[in-house]
Amino acid sequence: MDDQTTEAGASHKQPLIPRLPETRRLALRPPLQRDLERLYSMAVSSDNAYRWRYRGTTPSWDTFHRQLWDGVLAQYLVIRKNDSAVLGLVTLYNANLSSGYTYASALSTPEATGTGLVLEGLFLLLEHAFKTWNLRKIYFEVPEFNLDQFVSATRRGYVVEEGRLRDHETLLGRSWDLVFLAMYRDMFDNGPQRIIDRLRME
Amino acid sequence: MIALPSQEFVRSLILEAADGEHALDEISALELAANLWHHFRVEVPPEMLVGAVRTDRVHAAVVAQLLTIDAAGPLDCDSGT
Repeated sequence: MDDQTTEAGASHKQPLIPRLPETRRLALRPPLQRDLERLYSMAVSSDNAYRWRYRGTTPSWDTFHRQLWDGVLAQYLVIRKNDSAVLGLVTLYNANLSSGYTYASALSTPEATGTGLVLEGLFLLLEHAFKTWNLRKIYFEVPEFNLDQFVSATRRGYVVEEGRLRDHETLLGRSWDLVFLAMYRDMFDNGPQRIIDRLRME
Repeated sequence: MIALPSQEFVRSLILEAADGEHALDEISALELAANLWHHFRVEVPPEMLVGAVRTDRVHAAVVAQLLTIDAAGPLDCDSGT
């Protein structure tokens, strides 16, 4: 009984019902039917046409709709809280929960690209992933032409390269490697977790 | 009375966030924004910090935010300055 009382008392400070993580300015919410047009537009926008999944193609509406949830463990829109603007999409996919890993990806609106906003949203997704499932590590599947975006994370020890498929893709007249980066739980705890903890402090 | 941070302290935060790089990238900007909030409870949007290299501009934005004056424009700091 004492323990229950203690737990009940503690609940004033920390809700017993887990919620999706958020920072002071950003939140995550699942994509809804009404978001699909916006997501399609993001996926095939000039900034993302080659960087994300479709490599310069424009899939049919039905194909896009179906593939949006292919292999997905969880995915959320990154939302700015003060105006509910959609900034991007962050996704966990190809999970193997018995082996303790999943893959993660992020897609930005053109307006949010390069601002750090969707990166903050990605950190929230990673926190959600590590707290919800017994994951050992999260992979990022990075075409060589996207690798610049991970230089700083690699240097800081937030991710480590664990695999590389040489000349895996041919695009825009040349071959590119496909690189597999991994973020282990302790890497997340010592880096991104510390940053978002500070960003959410009141 | 507001305790304003010294330029030296802001500079140390920038250098820590930049982690040896010439300018702040997205991760560095997020880290600096987190540290500015942690130390001063001043909210400088990371998107204003991406690319920043000059201490005085960041310092001015922090001070402006502390004084609740809008920080004017992005911290557009030319590389090499």
